[in-house]
Amino acid sequence: MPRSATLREESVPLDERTLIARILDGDRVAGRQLYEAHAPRVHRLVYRLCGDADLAQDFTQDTFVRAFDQLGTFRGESAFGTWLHRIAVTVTLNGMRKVRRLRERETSLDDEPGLRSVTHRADPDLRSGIAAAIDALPEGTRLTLIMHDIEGYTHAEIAESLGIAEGTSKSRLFDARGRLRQALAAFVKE
Amino acid sequence: MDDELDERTREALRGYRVPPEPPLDTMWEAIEERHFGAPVVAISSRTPASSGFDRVGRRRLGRPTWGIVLAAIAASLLIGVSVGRMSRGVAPQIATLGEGNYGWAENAEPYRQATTEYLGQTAALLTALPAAARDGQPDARFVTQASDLLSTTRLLLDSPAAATDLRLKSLLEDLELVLAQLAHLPAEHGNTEIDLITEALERRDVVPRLRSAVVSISSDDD
Repeated sequence: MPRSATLREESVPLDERTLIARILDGDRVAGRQLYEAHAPRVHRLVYRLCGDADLAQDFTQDTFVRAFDQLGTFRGESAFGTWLHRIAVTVTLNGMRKVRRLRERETSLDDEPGLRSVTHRADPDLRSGIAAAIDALPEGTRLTLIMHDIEGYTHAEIAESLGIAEGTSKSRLFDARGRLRQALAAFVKE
Repeated sequence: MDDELDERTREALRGYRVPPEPPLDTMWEAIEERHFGAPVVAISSRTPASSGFDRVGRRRLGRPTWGIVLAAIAASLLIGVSVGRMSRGVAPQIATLGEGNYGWAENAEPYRQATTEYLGQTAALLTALPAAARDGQPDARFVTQASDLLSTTRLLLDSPAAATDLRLKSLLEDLELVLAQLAHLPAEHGNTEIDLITEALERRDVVPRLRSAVVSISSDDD
């Protein structure tokens, strides 16, 4: 699957170190430049993870605010984008847990549909079937599948962003594909 | 996975939670305010359905747009001009003509603050110009900022500060020229227009003079 990053995101307008130094000096214009270079890809990933436009907006904002607040601790050992995506994933997962807890408190929700219920469901729509199958994956597995097979991140980038070994990323992807294959077998037979 | 399933799966995966167009400007407004702070806070009226709170219950404050910030600068300049003229009857002694630091009289504090803020923002804008040009911009927002700064430049040129400090006046005149070019940049501009502006900036040594003025004026606290 081709990488989904756009040309605009890949060509950083100014040297990132310069921009970061300026942001640390309180330069809003530099902040905007760095934001524009990375925000579309961060927002895309966050949306794929949470599936809600309002939440994606909030989580993307939180990601950049936290990144700017902690910019002084960024040592430049990894790419800024990788560091930023790590923050985005953390913010999104924590945010989703918080939202889920709030919603559970408000209403007694039905059990989330598990993989088993997906495989046995006679859903004629492959797309909704696959969406349900992805939603039912364990968190880390789902994250890896979305980042690799949908958003086009490499295993190295996923490993850095999630703080796991590359091998773990590969095995999670293998697992995710296996579960999807199992969930979608019914559609192939039809 | 056999080939057929692979292809169908890939197609279906691409349709999983297709992200909408990111609301870049709206998100930036919130980020800018939360990280950089807002000198002037306005009540936001972006979305009719907005309750003023976000999904996790944080208060959403208004955005600190350049327009609002510049309006505040312009207002403080006008107040400064009025107060200065009323209290002295004549234009106050704002700055000396010496070659050293910009010297500001005691009663010129409103000018000094407003000028420092204005010069800092202009420096940030002009410093970002070459990069913006490389990136296929300046965009409409950039042009609007230039236009707002141009208005402030003209206010400062009419103020006693420029009348008594030739160095500041000369800098403001150069800035007026550059900002006017930027503010009137056609929507479909080519590289030539930007090259001419960049050339003018370099030839007149505008950005270094601007930075030096910011440092000099802001350190003139006594």
